[in-house]
Amino acid sequence: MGTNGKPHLAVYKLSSCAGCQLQILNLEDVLLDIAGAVEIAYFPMASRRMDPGPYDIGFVEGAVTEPAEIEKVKTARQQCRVLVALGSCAAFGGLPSMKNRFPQHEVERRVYQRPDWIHSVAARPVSEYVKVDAILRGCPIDTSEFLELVKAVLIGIRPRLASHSLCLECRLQENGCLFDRTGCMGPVTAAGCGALCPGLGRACEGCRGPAEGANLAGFARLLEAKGYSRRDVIDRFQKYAGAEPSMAVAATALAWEEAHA
Amino acid sequence: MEKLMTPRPAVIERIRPETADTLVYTLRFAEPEVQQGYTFQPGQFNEISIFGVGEAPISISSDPNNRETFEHTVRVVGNVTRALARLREGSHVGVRGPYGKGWPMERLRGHNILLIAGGIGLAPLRPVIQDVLRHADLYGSLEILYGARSPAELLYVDEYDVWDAHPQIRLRLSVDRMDGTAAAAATAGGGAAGAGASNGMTGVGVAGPASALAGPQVMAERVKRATVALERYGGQVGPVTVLFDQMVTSPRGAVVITCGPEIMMKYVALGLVERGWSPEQIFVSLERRMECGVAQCGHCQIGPLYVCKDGPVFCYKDIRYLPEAVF
Amino acid sequence: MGSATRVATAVHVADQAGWEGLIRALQRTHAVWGPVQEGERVILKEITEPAALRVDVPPTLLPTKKVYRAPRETLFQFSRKQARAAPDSGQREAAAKPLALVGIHPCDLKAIQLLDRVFTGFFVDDRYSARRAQTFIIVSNCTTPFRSCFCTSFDSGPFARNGFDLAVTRLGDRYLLQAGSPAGQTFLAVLDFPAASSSDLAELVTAEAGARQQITRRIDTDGLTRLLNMNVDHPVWDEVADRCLCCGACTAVCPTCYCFSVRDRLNLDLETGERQMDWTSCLIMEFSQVALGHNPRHHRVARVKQRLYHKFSYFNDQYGEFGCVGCGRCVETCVADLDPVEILARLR
Repeated sequence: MGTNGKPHLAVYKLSSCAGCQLQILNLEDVLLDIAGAVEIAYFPMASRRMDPGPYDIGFVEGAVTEPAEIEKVKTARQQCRVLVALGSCAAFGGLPSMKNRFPQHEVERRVYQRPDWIHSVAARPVSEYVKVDAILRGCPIDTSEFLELVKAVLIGIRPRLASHSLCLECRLQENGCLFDRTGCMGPVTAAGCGALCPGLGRACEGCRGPAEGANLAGFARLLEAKGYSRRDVIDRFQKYAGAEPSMAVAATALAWEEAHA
Repeated sequence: MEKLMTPRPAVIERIRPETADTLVYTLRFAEPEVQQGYTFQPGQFNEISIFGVGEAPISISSDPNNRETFEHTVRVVGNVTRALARLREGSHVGVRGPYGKGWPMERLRGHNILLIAGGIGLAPLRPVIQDVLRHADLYGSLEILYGARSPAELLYVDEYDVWDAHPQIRLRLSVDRMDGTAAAAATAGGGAAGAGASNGMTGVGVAGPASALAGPQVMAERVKRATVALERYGGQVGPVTVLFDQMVTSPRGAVVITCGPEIMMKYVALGLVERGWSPEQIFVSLERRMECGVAQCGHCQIGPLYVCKDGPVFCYKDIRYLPEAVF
Repeated sequence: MGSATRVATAVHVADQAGWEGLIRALQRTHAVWGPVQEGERVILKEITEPAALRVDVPPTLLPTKKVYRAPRETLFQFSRKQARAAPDSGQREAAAKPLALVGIHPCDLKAIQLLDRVFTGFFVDDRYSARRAQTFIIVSNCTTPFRSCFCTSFDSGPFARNGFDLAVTRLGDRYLLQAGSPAGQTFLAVLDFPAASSSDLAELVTAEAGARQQITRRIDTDGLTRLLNMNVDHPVWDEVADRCLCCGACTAVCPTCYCFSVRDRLNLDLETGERQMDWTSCLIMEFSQVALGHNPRHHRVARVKQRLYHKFSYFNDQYGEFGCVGCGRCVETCVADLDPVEILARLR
């Protein structure tokens, strides 16, 4: 706790686009209310003020993709009583984890003119290196889920965030189903975004990672039956959460099956 | 019309630490007319509300003859119970109930009772024990076989002498293991982490640890008393079924009431059937996820039964072949 | 509320203008809800313009249960400090106009009757019964059934038998109206539509027979509960579980699925908030999980069976009827093309 008795909050950034941090800043309507309940002690993107730790609650944005970031998450873990992976990069590896299927040196060579300057590792979720108390899914995160989590931490309970399939949420909003036309990832993707994309007529791309207990094998068979190629299916599985264990297993199994067909 | 799911305020009169992760709450409805109109049957439960956190179904563990207050024995396992553990005497909670079908009290009258409990499962059976103590003439003998994981986890240690001293009551104890007592004492004061769901935070947040739980010293003292009790009441090491060989109650004209982990009740039931008891004589109390308590939210269904309405107490004969029961 | 027994009354005929006049008349006293076509979607919603109400469209995406218990509904407001529910919670409701459901299909009407058993049978849910009691129902008989329909299996269509205030059957440009309750009779009398001719009546009979004939999909309910109970371990369940994504879409759109979860939502002041009910689904993992993490339906096959056994076996034990009305919504909505008609036929 800070001297004024308010819990101290920290936001760290690893390899990411800063879009999830921006979502926090986008909460300006309620940011003052949050600021009334917590002390934003360390949030480099928002403020020059950087109070030293320890902090009561820390949010880590981004995937871990270089050795220095491994040290950074370890420090964050030491500094924070509650540590939250903010967004799908931190939670599952996110978009950066798409590179994991290629050899590291090849990725570096493709992207950088001077690969010898780069020391990167496979993109991994924060939980690969330190214990994480909660994850906030999404690319970017959903602001109301962020608030749910902050409120839960402040009153000392486990947050109840949706982990079931997006379809349930989407049907309850009476959206027309996009699956047949688009191969929407909703059936195996975790809800909690308010079915934002399908509500706007756009297929779900799976940015929130797999729903709890998702039938990925069944979904892959279904996509292939609808005419999607094995490569398409693997790409979809690996886009946002390829490093998430159940997705990784499913994608690996599909690739193995293809290679040994 | 009475609002079906709106709880009434109740005052926490007293909080007593029971084990490292379990507390006993004495409650009284804040509105006298509500308290006056409140009665329950042993084995029934209330829905306890901590506003802002949620609601949890918790069995009533006190003497049904006491109309002034009622008690809940609460193990810290989830959000609501953890929040409860942070409250102090004098705090208010929301309560609605009682719900469910309790132990078959009519059937118990005039019969010998074999009561078999495991861990926190003794809580919903305690009202039966207390009714026997108060109305001994209505019942035959009561044999209590009670097992816990370790001495530190035995509930109601301070009541055993009163129970066993009663001429109709016999108590026998078991623990899965004698060790682990130091570890259990060390986790006192907020150690109970609760289950980690996929999004779950396993630790407590910034609101601080559960304050009402017993500290290490209190626990060490309790473990000592529990160890003495174990010696006094034939303490065996092993699952509660190790006590079957010392059992004195014979199946003839007796009724079994059992509550504990489902896997324990399964082996209790199987063991008793093997020893000549009939499934029709055995009553079990099931645990399922209950949210509304009034057979509407659907969560607690098992086959055609709503555990909240048709149970939680069931006759073993009626549920042993249900597809989703562990029996 | 439609009385349980049908009142034998004359059939009246309205043209399009008369029908819209009827809706307008109803709007004076009621909030009129009915099916509306929005692009490709058919939505049950409150009608402002009578012409927007459609009686010839496929089942609405969400069924009528949403008017009695919204997908998210506030039970009461609370204050943490006072540790109690606000005494005035739910009083806003009393001021609202009573509800009229117009153009709902017979299967959905049957579903409401089944939900009555759930929400007023063992325990009476105050808010459900208050909303239900004041609802005026105009059921729309189906003369051209839709591709997934199998209502005849459960005697819940294509024409309604009871439980309505008025029944409407659209034949070309005519709306044939018949009262099913004293309230409906009174309402119809005021409107003073001409009586149907004998050829109208003959056409009505032909329309019902024709509609029945068109419904070829069928669940054989003879001994169905017993059949299910004898086939708990039938291989078909594993096959279904391999295909089912447990996304819960079928339960969301099912007119008789009633399961909900309760949760508290705090305001940012961390002091006040609301206790809310959300529709949920027995197909999702968290549904049966208990506090310590144990889940009796951890495996997908157990969840898949729970849904179907509840509809076709347990509901019968609980409420004396099957829990399915054959509306076909689950079939239409399932991305994996699972269909109870096919699944149950496999057991035979």
